Amino acid sequence: MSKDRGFTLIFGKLSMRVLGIETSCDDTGVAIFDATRGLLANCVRSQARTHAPYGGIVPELASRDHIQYLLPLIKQVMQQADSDPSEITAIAYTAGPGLVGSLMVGATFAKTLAWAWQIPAIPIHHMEAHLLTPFLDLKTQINFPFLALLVSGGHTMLVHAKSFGSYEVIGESVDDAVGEAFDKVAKLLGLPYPGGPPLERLAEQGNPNAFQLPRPMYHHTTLNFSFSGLKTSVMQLYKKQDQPVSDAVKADIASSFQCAAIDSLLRKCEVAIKKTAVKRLVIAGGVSANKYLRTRLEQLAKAYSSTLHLTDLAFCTDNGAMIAYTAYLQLTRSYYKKRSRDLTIKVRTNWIISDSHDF
Amino acid sequence: MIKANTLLALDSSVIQTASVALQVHSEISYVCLNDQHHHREKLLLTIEQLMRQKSLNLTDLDGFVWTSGPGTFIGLRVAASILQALSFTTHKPVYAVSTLRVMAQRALLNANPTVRRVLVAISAGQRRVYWGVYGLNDQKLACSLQDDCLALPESVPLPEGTMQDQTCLAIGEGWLAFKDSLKQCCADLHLIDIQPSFFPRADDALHLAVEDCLPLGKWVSAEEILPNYLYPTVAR
Ligand SMILES: Nc1ncnc2c1ncn2[C@@H]1O[C@H](COP(=O)(O)OP(=O)(O)OP(=O)(O)O)[C@@H](O)[C@H]1O
Repeated sequence: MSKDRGFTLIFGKLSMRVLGIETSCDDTGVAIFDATRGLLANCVRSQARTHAPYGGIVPELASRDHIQYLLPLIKQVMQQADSDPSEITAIAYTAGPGLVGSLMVGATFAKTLAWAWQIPAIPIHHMEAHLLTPFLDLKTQINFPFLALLVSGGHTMLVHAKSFGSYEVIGESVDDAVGEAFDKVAKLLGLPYPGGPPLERLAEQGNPNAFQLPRPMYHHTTLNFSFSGLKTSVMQLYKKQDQPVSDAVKADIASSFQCAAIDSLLRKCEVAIKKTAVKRLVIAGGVSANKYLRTRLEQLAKAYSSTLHLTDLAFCTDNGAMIAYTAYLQLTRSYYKKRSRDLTIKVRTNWIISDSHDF
Repeated sequence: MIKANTLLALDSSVIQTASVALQVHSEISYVCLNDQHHHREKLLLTIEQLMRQKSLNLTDLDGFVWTSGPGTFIGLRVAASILQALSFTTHKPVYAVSTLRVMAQRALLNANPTVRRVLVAISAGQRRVYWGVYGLNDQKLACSLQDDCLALPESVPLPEGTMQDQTCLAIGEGWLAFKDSLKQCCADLHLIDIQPSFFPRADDALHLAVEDCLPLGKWVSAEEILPNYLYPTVAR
């Protein structure tokens, strides 16, 4: 095997070191993952401050930030990893799904750099990378099959991961993503963007049973989710309160909302465990940083004697480490992409996860 | 002054075309991509093919040139990403030229010698145009008479003073999209022709870089390769 396939021979030993680039949405992430030493460096530049004044992501501003900060981040991780360009054996980049302008920056940069360094460029599916993140080290063995709850600002889905590269979406949100609902309710309560973390902190001070909120689709037999009805109910509830709404009431609203949203997530996980009889559960994506969700899932796993794989807090939101790691897995399992030397620059904004090894 | 025998130039600043030009000593090779839907996708591939045809390696290049805007945002960022990566790996500098100036250069050199001014307009979305007014200097290089700007077609600015006495030529597809408004703004000028099918070309950017900028040494390093959007912030 040669560098052509993402490996290089050093002193007779196969070596592999992947530079991962993530620019699918609003965070610029770059990392280096080494086949023998694991993660060597991981830098993320959050764009929260850029988008905060708008209360949500402005795609054009996201792209502008990516082009400005990607190269400095690459230099930073190369330095942190004490890595020379000649030691990098492959470049992985998020090719979808995501915002077209954001994806294009990372894809173009990655392809050009790979061409200049004469190494393969590996297109990675953003959600596959999220789903594999709980295993992001060299010690944890990945055992298939497992159920994955992927919860972020753009996605809410339950995936049945049957084997590496074989992923079936068994449930997803029919409207808003759960992270989006957190962000919108947070905005209503006057919290800064992104709203998930401050909303969670506020919820800790409130009573989760203070208000009765709906859990849409709770009793549906499908594994699909819905969060827009819950969001609307919270808005109506807020309007009905004495204005200005006191901090204590805000905390109660936050707590009741969080409880309702997470009840819905839990319910579908439980149904999925029963339906599939799969005993391993993985949770990833930005919302998986939520402590209340983590605790509830631990209880659920215990009740069903299942194993729960939580994502390290540092890797819940978008990052380059998961991209580099997924490429490393693909390369070691010979999922070598024939087209990795192809110099046409392509991204797939609506790439579905069941197709993740087919670019 | 930087040794600049071998230069690579890129343009992908408008929706209609993209192009690559390669200069080796005094010989220039030029490829224009017209397939609107795919030209950006093929920019890197085209560079590779052109370099291969000329048996050049990246290490043979002395520097890079690009049209940095104003223009289409995604297109500008594709060129910027390519050049950032190439400049970073080769440690070679980059020179940026205004898209409007590059267009004006060709128009002025090709036009009837009585033409003294070129009025460049390209659509900028949201019913606006990128607007530039250019003339030739003594070295026969296009020079702006005012800063390139983003303007409403009804109120594009014109430089103070002598415009009325000069024969003008209008170029750029903005003149197709907003012909009436622009003509009205320029009603006092002696406008002899309107050429909307006029697009920037990488070889003209190369020409301007070699003639004008190399001696001035206005090169930048990889991190400074950023588009000149002219849209300072983005409306919601
Ligand atoms: N502790 C938390 N509790 C609830 N939500 C959280 C928490 N921390 C982060 N989030 C939410 O996670 C989302 C960000 O996650 P992430 O970066 O994975 O996703 P994204 O980039 O928005 O979307 P995607 O990964 O689907 O493209 C935001 O909506 C944020 O509010």
